[in-house]
Amino acid sequence: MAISGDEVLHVAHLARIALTPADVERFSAQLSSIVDHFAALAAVDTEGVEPTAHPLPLSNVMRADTVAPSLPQATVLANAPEQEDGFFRVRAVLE
Amino acid sequence: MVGKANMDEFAMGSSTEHSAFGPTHNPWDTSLVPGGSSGGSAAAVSAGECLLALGSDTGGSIRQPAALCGNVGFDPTYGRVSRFGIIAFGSSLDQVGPLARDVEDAATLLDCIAGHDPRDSTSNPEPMPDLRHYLHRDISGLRIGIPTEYTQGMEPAVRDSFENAIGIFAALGCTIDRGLSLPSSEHALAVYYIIAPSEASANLARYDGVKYGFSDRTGATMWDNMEQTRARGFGEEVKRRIMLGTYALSAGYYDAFYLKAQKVRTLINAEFEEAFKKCDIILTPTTPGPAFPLGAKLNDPYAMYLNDIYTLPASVAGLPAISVPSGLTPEGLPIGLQLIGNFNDEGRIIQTAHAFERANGMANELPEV
Amino acid sequence: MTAIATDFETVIGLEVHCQLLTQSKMFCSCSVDYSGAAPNTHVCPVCLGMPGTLPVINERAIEFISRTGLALNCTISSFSKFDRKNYHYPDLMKGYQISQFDLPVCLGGYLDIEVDGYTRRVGITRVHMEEDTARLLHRTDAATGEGYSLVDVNRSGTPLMEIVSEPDMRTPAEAREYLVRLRQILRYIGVSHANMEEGNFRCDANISLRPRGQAEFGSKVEIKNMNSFRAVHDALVFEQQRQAEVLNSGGTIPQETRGWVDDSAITVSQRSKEDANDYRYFPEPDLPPLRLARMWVDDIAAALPELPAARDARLRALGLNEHEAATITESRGRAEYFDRLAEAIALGPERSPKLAANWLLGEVSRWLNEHTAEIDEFPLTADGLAELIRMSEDGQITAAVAKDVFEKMAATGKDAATIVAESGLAQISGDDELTEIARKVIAANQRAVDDYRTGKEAALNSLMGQVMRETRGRANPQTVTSILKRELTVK
Repeated sequence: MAISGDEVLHVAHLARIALTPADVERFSAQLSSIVDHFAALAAVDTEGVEPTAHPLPLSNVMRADTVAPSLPQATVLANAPEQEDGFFRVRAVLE
Repeated sequence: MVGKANMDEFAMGSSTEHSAFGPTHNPWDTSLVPGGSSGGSAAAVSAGECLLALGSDTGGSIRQPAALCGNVGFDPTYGRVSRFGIIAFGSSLDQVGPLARDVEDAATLLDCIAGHDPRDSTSNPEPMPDLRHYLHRDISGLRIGIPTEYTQGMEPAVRDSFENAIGIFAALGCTIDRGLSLPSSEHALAVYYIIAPSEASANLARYDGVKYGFSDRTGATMWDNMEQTRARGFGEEVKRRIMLGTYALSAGYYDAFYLKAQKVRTLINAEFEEAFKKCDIILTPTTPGPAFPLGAKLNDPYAMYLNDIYTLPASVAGLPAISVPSGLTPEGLPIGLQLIGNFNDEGRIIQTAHAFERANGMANELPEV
Repeated sequence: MTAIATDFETVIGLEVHCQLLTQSKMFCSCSVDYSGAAPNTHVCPVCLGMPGTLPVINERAIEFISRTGLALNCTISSFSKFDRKNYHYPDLMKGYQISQFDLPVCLGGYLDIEVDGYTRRVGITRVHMEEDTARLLHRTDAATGEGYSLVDVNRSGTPLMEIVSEPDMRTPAEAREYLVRLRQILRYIGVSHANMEEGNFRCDANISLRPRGQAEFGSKVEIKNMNSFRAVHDALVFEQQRQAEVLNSGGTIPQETRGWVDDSAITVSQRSKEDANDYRYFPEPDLPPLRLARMWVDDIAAALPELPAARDARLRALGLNEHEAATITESRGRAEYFDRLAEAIALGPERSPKLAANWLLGEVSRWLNEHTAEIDEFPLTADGLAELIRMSEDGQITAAVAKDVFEKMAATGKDAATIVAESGLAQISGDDELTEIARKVIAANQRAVDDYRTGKEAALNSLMGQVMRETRGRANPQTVTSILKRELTVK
């Protein structure tokens, strides 16, 4: 099943990964080949079969509503690529 | 703690060649890969640099390098070891486990790290029994099942070693059933390579250069920055899997891929459940072949994925599985034997693996580095 | 304003996001009380989305959303789960939001609203649980003039409840009333402050027009950026007009998102956040599903307070009029005070509710307004106030004195009986005592007496006033009137 260059660009856009034209061509070929191998799945009869989202049959795993200390501001920002006045800084985000 | 080991980036790989730090070499033959993604850990153990190492296993990333490096590698039942603290890759598949030179050491390390963690909501609330109680025990009467689907595609040396191992179990008094069939396991590779990348595509979305980590700020806009950060910050295999996962989850493809994979996963699990009514341990080779040359499979991603065909089904099912050394190829390269157990049955796996190890006499064999 | 062509019907649906009153965040133990705090001081590795972290569900949030669903007549799902909603944005720490997609906690409820004398039942499609994002601020670099953005992660992970209505509303006024009623219920059941100005209650609207009688919906426009109930109303009025004009002139309405610009009172088309909003929802692998037990849900239902509608009906049945009932039941605190007060007054079912209503809407409201206080800050207990009311009703003090005692009670904390005794404010109604005072006043006010005897009834008021002054307001007015009349007819 072929994954076209346009589809690769669309997927890369959703994943916010910049691609060069060479990247697009390479990934298009590789992803198409990989996905081809998945074709056999379509033939498997899964009528009435529930999907598995979790390997263990757990449910209702919750915690009590208690407060624990937060990190100091300096720690939160310790790895910040750019910061200002206690905030993380990024280029303008247009609403 | 002795140090940090090399691995495939974000645990995505079967050869430890996808590392920003360069590849790790197999101590048994340094022109070969050690396996992956926990190749650094496996190599360190078999090179004698340390006694014990931790690895992560999502599709076989502890077991496969253990086999290629002649170690014991144990992937516990999903939920045995807390995932809080490990960088998430395939959330419904990831587990942490030990790599060691022998079964006793692996059992000892797993005893230390297993246990419920309230910070991990998928953590198994049932405590694991002390695994060292299962060492030095008799296994006569144990029912061993060998699935017919898993014995395709083995290289001759692996087949010979596998048959030899079966003989050892028979001599130890086990019953061997070679007629076990797990037909859906053939789809485990497709199921895994849809589910794991899908979950990974979301787990790796946080690396956007805003809060931490590598950040490319050369572009003029915020989106430029984010897209370049991720393009330059991630290696080739990682980007490939993120895109594969994004594709499998995207509108129009979700039903055919992700949802379908989760349904086939249910079938795979159900077959294992049935199988474990008839046998106690499922036996397979760990890998189709021994360690391969560095660079040999880098240009064919799918060929790389095929390394994991025997380890993937247990991962998909969340079952515990161990790889123990079973022999050497004529060229002197390690071959691994995989024992798969039922949910939470680590005890029986250790019991069986230890008995085999004692009978086989390959414990603690190290290469001359 | 041009009238809308009569052949269009307006269809409105509302989506409300509401922050919950838990102590800690949805998936971690950071405090949610970040208002006024310095940026990035209510953050931990989990809500910052650091590698290796995992979410754990806050049990109280699930209790609150269940409570909300029950108060809105929803079914509480016996099986529900969390899903990942995937998109990139600098305010989204993990690059996905943990939310609920196809199996939310609450489904299929309704909220009845009353507008202009008619009732509309607005369906509630669903109520689901999710986590809030971080907050973005925008600044301009003084040197370069270039804009840039700042991220404060304090809000990230706050429990957020999304309430989605069916497109059942037909006018902007109905939309406004829906929000008023919804807010009231959320406050009644104690799950949220539900305050738009504080940012813990946010509303997006969907509006479309269709020819009246047509079953199909018209093209839907989403409106965002409305920061008050008035803004929601005005934005819908504007949009309704705009769409009608476009349709009437033969145009079509593109399905889009528009932002309300309050200053100019218009909506403008917005470039959407995600061009093709493909959120790629999939079940959250880090969180096992919720299987909420019947018993657990029933316990929550049993613990629900009496809700506004039921309470209003009960008060009307007790004899209160529409305005009284509505005003009293507006807040749960006030309504519960009313119940305690009526019970404590204990002068029978005919009189007690009315008395309680009068005092609550009268003196108590006045005091609260003067002191800019809420009912929970009011210093008189229901029992204490009831004692005062009973004293006034059975004649121990006059109505005028009662108001005075009320003030003193609020100021000093002393009870009514003590204040009355200490200040000697007990009502004088004894015939002998009042007769003596009346005669004294009559003797001293010949002119008024003459006026009265010549038929000027009003002169009696002047004499009354004098008697009241003599008794420092403690005389029973009715008794004084009848004594004066009696004395004045004596030759």
